[in-house]
Parts: sequence; structure tokens; C-alpha cells
Amino acid sequence: MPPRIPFPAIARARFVPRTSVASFLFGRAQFSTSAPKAFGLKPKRTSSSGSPVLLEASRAHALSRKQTPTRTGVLAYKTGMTAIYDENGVRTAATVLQLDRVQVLATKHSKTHGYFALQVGFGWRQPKNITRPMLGHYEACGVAPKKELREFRVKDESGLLPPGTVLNADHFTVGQFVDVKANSKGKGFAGGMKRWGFSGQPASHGNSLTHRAMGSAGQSQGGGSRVLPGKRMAGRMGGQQHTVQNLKVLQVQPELGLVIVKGAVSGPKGCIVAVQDAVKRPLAKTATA
Amino acid sequence: MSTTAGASLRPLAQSLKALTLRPIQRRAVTDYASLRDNLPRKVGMFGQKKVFHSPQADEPRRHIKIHAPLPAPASKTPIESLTSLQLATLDPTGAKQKMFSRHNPDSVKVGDILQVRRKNGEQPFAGVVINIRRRGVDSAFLLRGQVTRIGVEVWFKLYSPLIEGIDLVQRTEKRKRRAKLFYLRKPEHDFGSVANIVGQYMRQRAILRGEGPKNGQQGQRGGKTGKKGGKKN
Amino acid sequence: MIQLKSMLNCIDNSGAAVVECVQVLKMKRAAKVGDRIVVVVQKQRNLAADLAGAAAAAQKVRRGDISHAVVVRTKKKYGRPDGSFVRFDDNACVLINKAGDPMGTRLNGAVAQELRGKQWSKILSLAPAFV
Repeated sequence: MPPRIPFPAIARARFVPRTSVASFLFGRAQFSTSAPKAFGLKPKRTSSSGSPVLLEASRAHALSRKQTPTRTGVLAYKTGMTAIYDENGVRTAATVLQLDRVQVLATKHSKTHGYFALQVGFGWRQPKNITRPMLGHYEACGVAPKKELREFRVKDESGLLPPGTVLNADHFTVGQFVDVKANSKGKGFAGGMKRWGFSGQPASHGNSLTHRAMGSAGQSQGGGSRVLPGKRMAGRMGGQQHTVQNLKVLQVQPELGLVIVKGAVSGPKGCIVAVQDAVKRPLAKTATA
Repeated sequence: MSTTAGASLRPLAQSLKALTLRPIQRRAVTDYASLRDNLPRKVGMFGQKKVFHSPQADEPRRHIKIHAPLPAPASKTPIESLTSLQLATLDPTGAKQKMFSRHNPDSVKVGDILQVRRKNGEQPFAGVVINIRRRGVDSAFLLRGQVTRIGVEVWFKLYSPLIEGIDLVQRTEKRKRRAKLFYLRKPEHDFGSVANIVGQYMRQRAILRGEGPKNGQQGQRGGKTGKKGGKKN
Repeated sequence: MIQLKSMLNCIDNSGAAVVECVQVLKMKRAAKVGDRIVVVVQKQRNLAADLAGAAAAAQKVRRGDISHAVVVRTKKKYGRPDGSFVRFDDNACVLINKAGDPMGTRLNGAVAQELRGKQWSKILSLAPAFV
């Protein structure tokens, strides 16, 4: 007699007659065999009392809580700053952002990925400087190789666009508010005064050699004799993603691909920034278009 | 039965003997050099040779279609394009631009005396140019003058729509050796009031235009067109 | 930028020549043009003893008096909506009473035009010039 090989539970489930006990034991296996990670096939996590209200800790509820714009964002160059005069002669400092061949490459759906998002590409890159796996991706999306890719989340299915859709500056309307994300300029290793705005020590009054130090890092005995987590200290400053919220769109020039927003945006000239409808000032409330 | 059984057993025993003995013999005469050369490149856990062979390895690589890029944006220098677009409305004649251009030998220099007329009904402000900031549409100049014997400095934006006109009242006698004349703030270097020089210039201009001194108000209003004339003086 | 201990010229005929700021009212930052401050008179324009009766009566404040005042000129440049900036060579103020009316009857120097938007038009109308 051959040695008895333990059957996997799923395989055995096929042969075992479906008694009530068996379906209790193995019935759930059908979900896991068909598509173990497909979000849409998972039942929504609701209370066992039968109420249709989602559990607060569930992914679906987290998604509904999250403030997400309804439309996709775009990538743009920060080309520099200028000034805009309105009809009353009031001058406004403004940042000029330029869109360059912005296209939708792919979409993510709640059913397959757990949330709605678009992959947006920007610019153009020489195909010889792109790996074959990525070239295959661009081929599948039906667009030319891109300089930069980024994912923009949207609220629901209505925000998804077909791959290949070109987004120009007229994606935005004059008067609406946008959030602009970019990496700030790197400041290198910075002390506590520059990085966190500490006061430092006095220049005189008997002070010697200690003028820009961060001071005490906390109590000794009584305070736990340790430095608390998150203590602000010297370290690398800048070079991190920074979002400027609620910038008003002053002008839009689709022929040049320009979006001109009020005020300043993080990062050096020539950096790539992500522009999306403001989370805190939704489009419907601010713009008429 | 027994003979056949014995005959069939003997070769088995022989083969068993050969199986057990041969490795010992071979070990005795092992040629390590040839063994090393004949070693399989990759040896798996149980001694079998593992084959790493991709089924596609012998086939040609699939051709990946590369789509043509979209046309690039119309302008590679958007700030310049935007500036020229703005100046078309803020400075349609190009007079202001020319007045402060580096390429114009007759442009305004630091040390010159300018008078700025404003649209919102304010008094014209006159003073010595002590700083010029050339930044496209954001260009500006700093005038230092006196109002009721109090020194006043005003930065004017060159292309501000609230500026009605700029008159070049007097050129500096000698080219200043500094780009910024902040030393004029010191009492020993202060230029003082330019009211007399400006008054003289206004009278002269009124005479040149053949207007009586009573029509000074009109002359001022007509100064928008007379800006170039003022510059040439 | 007028703050505690700032010395200002007083440009009206209330009798004060130089005053010292002791309080910036209604705000935690330094005072700008058009802001209300509390001052102490540090120098009188002319000592009352040297003057005739009418002129002496015109001297409304003496050295050491505490009064409210409005900043009318600052050395710190301030911006205007069209992007232009203005700065004066001195800090100056005009004394006012608690109601906000100027104590003096004449001003002898230019004041900033920004007073207009801040209900100080009475001071502006007294001024010989504004910038």
C-alpha cells in the first residue's frame, strides 16, 4: 500500500460529500481558490447583527472616509515665478507650471486594487533609456515612453479615464483651487535652529562656544532618563515631499500648456510637481465651470 | 526451479558486488583533475544536474512596439513666452521696456532723476534712481526723493498698470561706479530735494510744446505721449 | 516696525517733539503705519516758560505725559497692492486723544497714504502732503 499522502483541504473538499459540516468547514475555500486577493469578491465587512453599515475598521469604510478628489491630477514642470496684474492693478506673485504631454496610462479599480486611481505619465523619455519590462507596459497602455509616472487617487469610478487620454492645461479652470505636491529643496544636514526654529543661545552674557545648539533633549531622572521618540533634533532637512494646499488657479493657457497658480510651490525650478484639485476646496464649490 | 533460481541469483549477486565494489575501486584511482572538469555546473540538493533553461531562450526576443511621442509643448521657455504675452498688454508700445533695456545705450541709469505719474490721482513722485531690478514683467526701480523735507524711497514696478507715465527729468552727469546708490541714504551724500530740477524741467517742456504755463495741467495729462520726448531730452 | 522703546518724531503741534512707544495696542506684532500706540513724551518742542501765553496754551502735552498716537511714517518699507514699496527716513507719529481725534491742529510733514483706509482721514486732511 502506498504511503498515505495528506490531501490538501481544497482538493479533498471536491470528493467529500457536501454535508452541512463539510460545507461549514470547506465552503469558504471556494473564495480563496477563485481569486484570493480580489477586493470586490470579498464580502464587505459589516456587523454580525446584520446592519448594512460598514465596520469602521474595514478597508471599505476607510476608503469612504478618505478625502479624495473626484478628478485625476496632472504632472507639470515648475518653470518659475512671475507676477500677474489684475484689472485693478493689484499684483499677485504666481508660479508658472507647464504640462508636457500628460497622458493617462492605466487605471486602478476598487474591485481589483481596493481603491480607484489613475496612473498618469508626463513628458517623454528616449526608449533606449527604458527597460524592456517598462517598454512592455507602455506598449500595453498604447502611449509613448514617459519621463515620469505617478498615481493619482480619485474618489470613485466616474473619475477614471481611458488609457491614452491626454490631459492639457484646460483640465483646470480659472478660479478653482488646487493642491500642489513637490519635493522641497534639500538643505542638507541642518541644525535645530534652521530645521525646527529653535531659539539657540544668547550671543553674549558670558556665553561661550554655544550659540546655535539645540539645548536640552529632555529631563534626566523623572523624565524617564531617555530621549522621547520624535524629539526634534538636527538632521537632514528638505528634499521631502511637501504639499501646498489651496492654491488658486489664476490663468490657464492650453496652447502653451501653462497653469499659473497663486503663490509659491515647493522645489527648485525645473522640478516635476503633481497638481490635483484641492481636497479641502472641492471643485463644485469654487468653480462654476 | 532451484538451478534456475540459483542462475538467476548469481548475476544479481555479481551485479550487487559490482555495484558495491566499483565505487571503492574508482575512489582509489580517482583522477581529481578530470573529475573537476566533468563536474556539472549546477548541482542540486540531491546531486541531480539542475537545468536552468528558459523555453524562450532560443527564440528571438519579442519586438516591443514603441509608440511615437506626442508633439512637445509649444514653448520651451514658458516664462519668457508668458512675459512677452503680458507685456503686450501692460506695455503695448514697448516704451517702458526700451527705457530700461540693457541693450539701449540711452536707457535709464542709476543716478538719473525720474518722475513717475500715477493713475489713481496721487501726486507725481520724483527722485533719484538708486536701484534698478530687471526681472521681466516684475522689473522695478527704486526712487529716492524728498517730500516736505523728509526723505522717501519708493519702489515702483515698471509695468504696473497704475503708473501713467515715467519722465526722465535729468541724466546723471557722470556714470556712477556703483549699481546701487545706497550711499545716498547717508546724510553727507544725500541728494536732497529734486523739486527745483523737476519744476525747471516741467517749465521747459511746457515751453517746448508751445503751451503756456497756465496749461501745465494739460501738459501733464498729455505726458503719456510725451514720455518718449522726455526721454530724448 | 514700532515696538516697545521705539523713539518716534511727533509731527503735530501738540507740543511733543520726540516720543517713546510704550505699548502697541490691539496686536502682538510691531506697529505699522496707521496702527495705534501708546507713547510717553520724551522731548517737548519748546519749553512752556519761554513762550507767550497763547503759545503756551497750545502746548497740550509736557514731557512725561502719556498719550495715544497713530504711526504715520515708518523706516520699514511697506508694500502696496500694485507691488510698489514705500519707506521714509524716519519713524513719526501724531498724538491723538482717546476718541481718536488728533490733539494738534497742524502737521508739519508728509504722512503715508495708508491712513486713509484706516479711518484716520482726519489726520490725512491735516497733513501738508502724503506719499
